[in-house]
Amino acid sequence: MAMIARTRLFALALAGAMASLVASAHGAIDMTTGIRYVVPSGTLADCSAKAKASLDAFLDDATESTTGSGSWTATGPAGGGATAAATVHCIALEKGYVVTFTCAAGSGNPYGVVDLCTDVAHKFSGKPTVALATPPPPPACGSLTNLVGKWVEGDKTFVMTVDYGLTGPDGVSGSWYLNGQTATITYYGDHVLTLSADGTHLNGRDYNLTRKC
Amino acid sequence: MRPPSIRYPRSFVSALAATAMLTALLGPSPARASIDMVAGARGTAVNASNDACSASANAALTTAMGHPAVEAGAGTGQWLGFGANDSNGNPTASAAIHCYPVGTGYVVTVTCATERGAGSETANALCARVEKAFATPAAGFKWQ
Repeated sequence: MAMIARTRLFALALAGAMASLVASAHGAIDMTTGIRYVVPSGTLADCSAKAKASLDAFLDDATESTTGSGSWTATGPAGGGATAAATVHCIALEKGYVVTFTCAAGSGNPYGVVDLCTDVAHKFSGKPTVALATPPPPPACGSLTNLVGKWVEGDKTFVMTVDYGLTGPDGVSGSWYLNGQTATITYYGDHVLTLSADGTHLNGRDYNLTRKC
Repeated sequence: MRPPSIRYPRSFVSALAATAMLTALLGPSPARASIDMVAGARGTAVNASNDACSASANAALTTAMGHPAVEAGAGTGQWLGFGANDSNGNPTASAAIHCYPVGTGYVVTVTCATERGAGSETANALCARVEKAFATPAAGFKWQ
């Protein structure tokens, strides 16, 4: 009994330790309001079309909060991740419209909110934009430093992303962490796996995954 | 025979040692803050000044975020609020209110962003609080 209690207590404390490590992964959030344009001619639809295009130039999948609202939001960086976001509000005036820009980014984002907002606004107005710092490219297959990419076991596919997110075969989200060759997959509980020397396999009690190249 | 309960503290010591070891081994976790951002409601007042909007924006953000709001340039009507600091004192939520005069009134927009996983509040929930705190809306004011 005492051994069982000790084991449970140890497991509980260990889980707490892991949780505290995960919690410490969070960082600061930054936000800025960018340039505001007042356009004396044009419709709300014109503004919306340009808002979507300017957001999509730097982020992914700009969507309107409700159809016809003129408020557009996108998250990025483009091509993956969710460490930056921007919102463009189009407001119809009696003649023309006013458009505002708001940008937010979390730590770990490759570029700052001011640069992002300036570029989105300049794209909107047709001014030259500056190349934003690009996020680290997805690693080549067999990386030993991260688990980003697709992993398969039989007909099950797990997708791991640069922001330490994970999506399992049933669409449920989780997370991953890699320390040396020891990986912790949080997906219906924590699972400790070992990354193979060539970085192509993750093996453990619960899963045996192969990196899909 | 020593009662089992006396041994529990030892497991605590073991757990604490494991915690310290893990922390030392893993070090600070990589900070990749995933963002949840939404465009909140849009409000209109048919007969009120933009200064009134700014005053309400300032009050709403200060109340909702728990820290003084700042205007992004005096007189711009663009207000920012940061709050819900994490254990390191860094904000994990932010909101912006834009005021713009239209006719004899104004239009106000609310935008919110929170860090996913840092707390229980979503950007939508934050925006709902900010909108609720938008102080003393002018006559004829309505959220859309």
